Amino acid sequence: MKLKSGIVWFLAIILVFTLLAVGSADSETESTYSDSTSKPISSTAPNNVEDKPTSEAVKEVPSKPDLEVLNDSYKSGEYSSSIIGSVKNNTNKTYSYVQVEYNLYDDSGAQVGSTFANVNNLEPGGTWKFEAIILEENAKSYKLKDVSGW
Amino acid sequence: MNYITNIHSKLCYILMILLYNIPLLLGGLIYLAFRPIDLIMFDWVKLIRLQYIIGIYRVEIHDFYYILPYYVIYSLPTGLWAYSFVTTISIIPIAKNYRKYMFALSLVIILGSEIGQYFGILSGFFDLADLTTNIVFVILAFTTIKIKEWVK
Repeated sequence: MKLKSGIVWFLAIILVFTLLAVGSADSETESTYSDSTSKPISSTAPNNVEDKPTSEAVKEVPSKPDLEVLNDSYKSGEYSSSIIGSVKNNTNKTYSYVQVEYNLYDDSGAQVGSTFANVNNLEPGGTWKFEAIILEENAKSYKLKDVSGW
Repeated sequence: MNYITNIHSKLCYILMILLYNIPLLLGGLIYLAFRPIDLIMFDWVKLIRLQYIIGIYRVEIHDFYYILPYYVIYSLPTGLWAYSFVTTISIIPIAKNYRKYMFALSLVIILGSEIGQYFGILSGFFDLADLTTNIVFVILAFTTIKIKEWVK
């Protein structure tokens, strides 16, 4: 009897920790945004994340993402550097939480870290000016990984 | 008198479960604070409608992301979970000769998850720091169990 209850306890504990392991895995859900090109941090000029339409642009206008990174650029400070930019909520709902994530790369293109910024209560049509601090001294370029929220 | 002793031992048992699971909670809080929100864990947060609270928590604690060492955010949580796992296993009411099999299986699960990642059997990235942390925390857990037995 004691053995049986012990096994039940053991299996229950394994179940809890398996759930934790599963929970710490990546979800299959798609990102709101992903960009395949990285940007050098030497430039201080704002980088427009979205491609600007040209006169030869296709007539069909793509629908805007729910959360849109309007621009981002590198800012060098006295004690630290950061990525600054703005995110717009293109929906009619208030996001109680929004975050923007960037991957950081060195000269060789190897990832040396990541950074993110977040905010609460982004209103419909509202714009959030973010600043994500870069601590990695060897970071030479950055790439937007994701802008997401709920 | 027996009744009081019984209650006292039950209270001690509950207290022990709580103490052993503080590292589990701490590891979970580190994950919820600093890890990307595309983890399955955050789908559960939405499922139980805690996203508003977790959102506030993430924003309020965000500055610690720049202060805490990389190791604390990315390796320590699994070590804390390994500690909780082994110590919680130790309080299962079961005969001692079966307990060693449980510990053996626990070690296979904890260390096997990292080694499985190394060989590409399990999803995720193998990290030597994670493996080392898990081993250190498993040793710490066994030390705690031994100390508890000596105190008894």
